[in-house]
Amino acid sequence: MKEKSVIYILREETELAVLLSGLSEKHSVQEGDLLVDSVSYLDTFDWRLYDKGLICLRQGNNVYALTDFSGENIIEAEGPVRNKLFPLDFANGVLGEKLQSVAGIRALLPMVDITRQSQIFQIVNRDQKVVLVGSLELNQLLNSEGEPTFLAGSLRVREVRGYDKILTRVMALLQGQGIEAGYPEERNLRLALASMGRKPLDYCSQFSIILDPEEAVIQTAQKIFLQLLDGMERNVPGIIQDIDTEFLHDFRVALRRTRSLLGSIKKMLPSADVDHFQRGLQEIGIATGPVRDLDVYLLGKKGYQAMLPEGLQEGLAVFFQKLSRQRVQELRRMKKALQSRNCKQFLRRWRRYVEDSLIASAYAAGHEPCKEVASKAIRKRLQSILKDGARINPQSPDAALHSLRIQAKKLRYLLEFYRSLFPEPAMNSLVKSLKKLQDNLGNFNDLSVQQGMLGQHQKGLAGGEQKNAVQVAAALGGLITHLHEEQKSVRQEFEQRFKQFTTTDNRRLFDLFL
Amino acid sequence: MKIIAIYSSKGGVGKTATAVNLSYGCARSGKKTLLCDMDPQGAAGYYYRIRPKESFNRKRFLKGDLEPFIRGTDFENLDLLPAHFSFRNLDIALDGRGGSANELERIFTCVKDEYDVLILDCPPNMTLLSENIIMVADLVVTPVIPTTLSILSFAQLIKLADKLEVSRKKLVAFFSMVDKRKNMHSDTISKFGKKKMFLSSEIPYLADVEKMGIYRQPVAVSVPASAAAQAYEQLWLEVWRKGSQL
Repeated sequence: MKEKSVIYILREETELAVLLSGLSEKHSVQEGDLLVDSVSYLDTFDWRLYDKGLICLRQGNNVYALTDFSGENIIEAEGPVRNKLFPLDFANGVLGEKLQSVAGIRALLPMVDITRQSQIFQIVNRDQKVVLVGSLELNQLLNSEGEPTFLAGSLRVREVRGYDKILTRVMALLQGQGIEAGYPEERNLRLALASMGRKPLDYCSQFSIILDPEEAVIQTAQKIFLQLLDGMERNVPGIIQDIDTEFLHDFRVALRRTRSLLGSIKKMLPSADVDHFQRGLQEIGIATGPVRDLDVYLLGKKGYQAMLPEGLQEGLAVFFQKLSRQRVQELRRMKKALQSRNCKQFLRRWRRYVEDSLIASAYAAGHEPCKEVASKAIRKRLQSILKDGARINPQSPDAALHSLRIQAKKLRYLLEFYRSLFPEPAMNSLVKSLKKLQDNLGNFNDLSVQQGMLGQHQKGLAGGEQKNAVQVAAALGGLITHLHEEQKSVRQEFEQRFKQFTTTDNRRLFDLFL
Repeated sequence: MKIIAIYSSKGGVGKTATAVNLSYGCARSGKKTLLCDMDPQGAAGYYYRIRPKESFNRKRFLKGDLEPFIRGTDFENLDLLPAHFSFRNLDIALDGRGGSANELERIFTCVKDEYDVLILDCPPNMTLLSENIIMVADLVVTPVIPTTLSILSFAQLIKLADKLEVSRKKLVAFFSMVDKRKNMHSDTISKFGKKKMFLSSEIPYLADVEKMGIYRQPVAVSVPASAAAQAYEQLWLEVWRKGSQL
């Protein structure tokens, strides 16, 4: 039998004696010691837990709890003692599994730290028998001067089996004071963040913007550029501190989107401006490319391991050690580039240009309504994809697929930028089916890049003095063979995928952009 | 669910102290434990400060309607079903139901999934209820004061078990309220202590055990580091080992 338990949310600082005043003389309250502990609210940089209605807390050094906003489902476990931790750092268990499924490869970071004062208590009867147990928690945020701000508290009461009357009595007492059942963690987090000028979900890696169809396209572009630039800038500290791989990934996606948008409106702006900024953005792309490439390989380690038999694993392990060492060097190089005066000045110039000069510099074409421009650009891109895709046959060179991949990517960015201008269900379904085509083209490209990279490494082994060169070469050979086979099957799938993209249903969606 | 009965036909041998302290040790070891006070005097309930609910009585007990009357003790994993004054006639009532020896088994069915161990604190007599208890228990633990009368009553229990065709293996005894200064105690222990049915753990005659009536707690709670607490802890471990072998 599960004893009944109720949690009340306290929106104001209250004392236990006040909350429980009004008990009959037959009962008395025994209060335990006051304990003060620090509590950190953990989440990924992009709020993956909160976004799924979850809150992760660390109490003291290593006691973790993952709970939903209602507090009805709480998983508690001990975990590692460290400030930057990953879901994988948790020993196998329900907590680790749940964190992995939601937060994936992202680091769990302390979003805000609060101070929790807790006290357990019990109500005893005339025989000094415990007839109800409970706990009171009061949470506060200390500012830099150590001054506290009260956030929220909780009062938990739990029935002792066979003594249900007292619980009913206490519930009535609390109700009489206007205290409601509820769970305070979400409120604590929200209030604590608010006092720091932040709020949950204040960063999201998904691009999203609401546009006005009649607005001049250059104004729309300004908004999008600024949102993308904010995103880039917010990820820089995480890249420099090397917190997890997704800071760099998000940074590069925002960078590519910026370049793609700038490319699509280049005729509306003086070419000298466009060239200057495209070159600078490209340089940042080049400076950040090697680390991202290495991240992709390192993240895919398990997949590579699964491609090879036991006998080739040792060579693969040596190869991965080499990649890790390379990453250390490339990271150093990238950090230097991102922190260089050149790069910082360039990004400042770009911001100033977007904020102050972009609209004024635009030619007449830039002042057309954005929906019209967007429809035209999407239509044009779609048409060329349909034309080029239809020409691809089993004999076509790989380059044809690569070129189609780039076009599909550009189309995807256009659809994402201008999503809010068109009916949502149609856009969702179009993006979904484009994504399927892109997956095929993307896989084909990745497999080709990977084979090239592995081949390079293999060549570098010949004549070198690397230990285990033979094992490494054998492992790489094994991988290349496997990847080549996979690429062939991805290539064979292309026609089918393309046909799916051009079904009548989809063609009807294309009419949106007429 | 294992059923351990603390039984002796003789009164004043330390049954209730045993039931209270063993049930605490059992719960402490992580087993979900129910202590059932079958003695109408209600001493086990008194030690745990638990009174029966007003609506509880023999009739409800015999119906096997136990769950609403079980109450939580102040300790994790340990609940108690208090005795009721009307339990004094449990024998007659059992007889009225046909006197079947497995009536108790039926009564306790409703709790067998919830608890790992059921400990019965039995009244001091040798009646139909005793027979039921001996039948239903996996282990019958008898406190024996090292005196002739106490030994005799244990011998009677063995006789009863034989009559009921119950394996003697489930009968165990231990010396209770031992005062080594008394010649009779040491003589009795040296004479019978080696017998297979006797556990090696003993509970000495200690003031801390007597004071349970004042503290109304198991000795491991009121005087945690005491000789009494250690003695009951030892006894519990030995009883559980014995019970697990069966």
